[in-house]
Amino acid sequence: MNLEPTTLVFELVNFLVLLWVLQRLVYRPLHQAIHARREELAEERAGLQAQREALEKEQTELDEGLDRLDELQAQVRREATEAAVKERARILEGAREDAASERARVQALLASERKATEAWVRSVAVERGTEVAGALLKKLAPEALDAALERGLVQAIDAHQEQLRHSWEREGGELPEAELVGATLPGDRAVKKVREALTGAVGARPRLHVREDDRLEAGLLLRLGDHVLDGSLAGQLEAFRALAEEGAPEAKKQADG
Amino acid sequence: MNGDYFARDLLELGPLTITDTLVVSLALSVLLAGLGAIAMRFPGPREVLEVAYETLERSVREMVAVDAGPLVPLVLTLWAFILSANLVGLLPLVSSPTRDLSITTALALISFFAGHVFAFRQQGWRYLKHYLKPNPLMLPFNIIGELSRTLALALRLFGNILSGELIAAILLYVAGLLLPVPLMLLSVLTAVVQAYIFGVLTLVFAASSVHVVAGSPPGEDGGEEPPPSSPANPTPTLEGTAS
Repeated sequence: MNLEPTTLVFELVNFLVLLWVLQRLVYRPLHQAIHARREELAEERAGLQAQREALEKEQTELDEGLDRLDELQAQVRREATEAAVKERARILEGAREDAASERARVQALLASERKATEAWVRSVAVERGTEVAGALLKKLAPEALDAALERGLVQAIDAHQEQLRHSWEREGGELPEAELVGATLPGDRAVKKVREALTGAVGARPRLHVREDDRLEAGLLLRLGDHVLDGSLAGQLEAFRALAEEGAPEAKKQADG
Repeated sequence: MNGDYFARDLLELGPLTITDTLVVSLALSVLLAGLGAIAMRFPGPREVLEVAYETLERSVREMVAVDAGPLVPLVLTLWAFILSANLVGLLPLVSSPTRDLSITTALALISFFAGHVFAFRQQGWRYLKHYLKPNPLMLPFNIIGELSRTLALALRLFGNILSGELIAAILLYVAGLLLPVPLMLLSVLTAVVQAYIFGVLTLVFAASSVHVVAGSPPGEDGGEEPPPSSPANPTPTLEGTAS
């Protein structure tokens, strides 16, 4: 257990040599390698930090760009909304104008339809009225009807003397030939009255042909040349109808159509 | 027992006496240097050494508050040499160098001078002023404290290793072959702990010398142990464990 100087000195030298050898062969290379790796890592970290800063800057720029895009989007939306409102107002105005014009057109159409309908109703009423009136006259007072129609024909002959004379003269001035048509075969008295009136009108005694046409319903019709004097019930009713429908010729057309 | 359990003289060359522990110590040094040189030549072992070196270096730097970078190779070499010296005694017919007081004293002297060289390099001549604090009358006591600390370092390692081998030998003699096995496992643990303690104490003594001069209050200058706020707090516990 004694302290041995030789061993102590040798051990001192031994350990210091070992320390020196390990320092030279192991520790220093390891330290250098670790230091180099740390520097490499530090450089890499610095590079990454620079990249990170660049990315953060880029991110900031992107964020700013996004903000600008958001503002632009809001502005575009605002302008689009305003344009849409204006367009909507314009379309609504056009639609209102179209609706007003269409309403006016429909109202005019309805008015014309109403007028046509009124004319049609009136024509129908007149037609039916004249038919009924004619039928009633024929049924209730046939003799008075015939007498009135006969008297009317005679008056018409008197009223158309000039025309009748011209018509006869165009025939060549020969003995006038006239045709007297009745709903029933005209009687002698009626033939006589007509002949006398016609003679008075043209200044010569005409040759009068008599025949029957039940389409006349009642009364007489006189034809001299191209001149016709209608004193029949059918002719009178037809004249009344024409007179009644003179106020609505379009309605007449539509009613006929 | 003296011839069996203390250093044996193998050769005498005039005044020089070569003991078996010195031979084993030299062999261990050659082995460690050779292994280190070989390991550095291959990528795998080299990477393992890099990781181990970096880990141990970081732990050494974290133990003390001062920059202990220059002490790292010394502490690592102390750990490696003392650990291998402690464990080599488990081999048959091989003497553990650390059961030789001359070798542990040599290691303690290296620790002592390394601490003072480190402190001197850190502080210059101003370092020596701490021997005069808190007053010049404390100079002898401070020197005695330094020497006793170094002596304790040597005796602690020597005593622990020698006592472990003695107990194993006694039990082997008394109880046969199987009973010493648990004690040998305990010796492995003791070997690791003693190597760690020796290196850590070397580091802590050196660092505490710098720390004392640099910033401690006058009342703590003469203290042998590091201040409680120092990172070397485990020192008393470790010494207690070692004792």
